[in-house]
Amino acid sequence: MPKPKHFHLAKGRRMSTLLSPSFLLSFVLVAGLPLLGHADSAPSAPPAAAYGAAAAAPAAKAVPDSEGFVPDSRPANMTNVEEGIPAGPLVATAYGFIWLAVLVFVGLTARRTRQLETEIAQLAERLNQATGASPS
Amino acid sequence: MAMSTDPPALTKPAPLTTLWLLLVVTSLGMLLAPQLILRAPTEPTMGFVQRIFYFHVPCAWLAMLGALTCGVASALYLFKDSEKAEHVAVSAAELTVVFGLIAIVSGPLWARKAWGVWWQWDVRLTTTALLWIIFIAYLFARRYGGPGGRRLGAGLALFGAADVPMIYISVSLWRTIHPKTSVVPTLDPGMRPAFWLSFVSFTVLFIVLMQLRVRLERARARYNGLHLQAQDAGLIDD
Repeated sequence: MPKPKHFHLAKGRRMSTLLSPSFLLSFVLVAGLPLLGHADSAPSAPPAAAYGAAAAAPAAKAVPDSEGFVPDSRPANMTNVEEGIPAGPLVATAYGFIWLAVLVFVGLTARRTRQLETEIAQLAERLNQATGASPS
Repeated sequence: MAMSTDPPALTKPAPLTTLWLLLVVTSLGMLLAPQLILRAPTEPTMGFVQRIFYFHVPCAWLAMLGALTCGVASALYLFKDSEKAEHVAVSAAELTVVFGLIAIVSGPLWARKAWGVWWQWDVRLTTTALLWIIFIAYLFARRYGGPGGRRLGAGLALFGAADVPMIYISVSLWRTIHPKTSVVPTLDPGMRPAFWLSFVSFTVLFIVLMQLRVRLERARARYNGLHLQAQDAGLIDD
C-alpha cells in the first residue's frame, strides 16, 4: 500500500507521535536542563543596552523630564534589586511553566483528537452499514 | 445513493512535510535557544533574572498575535458567515489564553526581582490581564452560550482584538514602569541572537499548534455533519 501523501489523523500514528506527552516532556527536559541548572552569575561586561525602564540602575541618578517626571523612578519598595531573591528559581519556574502550559494544551488537544477519531470512526461505520456502502 | 461516509479524514489534509518541517525547525530552535540565552551577556542591573525576557516577550507577542488572528477570523465569521474562519478563531483564542497565561505568569516572576512586587496595576499589565479575561470569556461564551454562543463569542473577540493596539502603545501613552517597546530595537548586540532565535522558535511553535488545533476543529465539524446524517438515517435519536 503506498504511503499516504497527506497528513491523515485517523489513519496513522503520526499525530499521536507528534502529540505524545512523553516525547514532548523528554524534549523539554533535554532542551531546558542547562538553563535550569544554571546558577546566578555575576554580570559580565556591561552591555550598552538597557532593558527598558527597569534597566536603570537604582544607584544611578535619575534625570527628570521636561515635566519633572523621572521616567525610571520607582517607589522605594520597588527598587529592591539587591533584595537577595535568588534569580535561578524564578527563571527556572518561568521556563518550566511555559512548557507545562504547552504540554497541558497539547495533551488536552491530543485527548480530544483521539476521542473524536473514535467517535467519527464508529459513526462512519454505522452509516456505512446502514446504507450498504463499503467502507473504504 | 451511498452517503458520503468515508473514514474520518478529520480535516482537509495539509501536506505532511510542511508540518513536520515546522516541527523540526521549532525543535532545533528550542534546543539551541537556552544555550544562546545562557551565553548572552548578563544585564548589569538585573542579573540572571533578566533572562526571563527571552521567553516572556515572545509569549506576550504570540498572545497578541493570537488575539488579532481571532479578531479577524471572528469578523469574517460574523460578516461573511465563514465556518472555516470560525475554526481559526476558536483555535487562535485558545492559543491566546495559553500564551497570555504564560506572559502573565512569567512577567511577575521577573517583576518580583526587578520591582520587588509580584504585580502592579500598571497599564501594560492591566490591559494584558484584560485581554486574557476577554478570551476566557470568549471560550466560555462559545461553550456555554447556547445556540447564539458562537456569535456572542465572535463579538467578544472583536473587543479582544481591539485591546491589542492598546497593550502595545500603552507604555508610550501612559507613564508606566513596564519596559518600553524600544527595548527590542535597542537590545545589546550580544543579546540579539538569543532573543531572535527564541522569538522565531516560539512563533513557529505557535503555527504548529494552530495547525493541530484547526485540524481538531474541522474534525469536530465533520463529526457534526456525520451526526446529522446518522440522525436523518434514523440511527441516532435526538
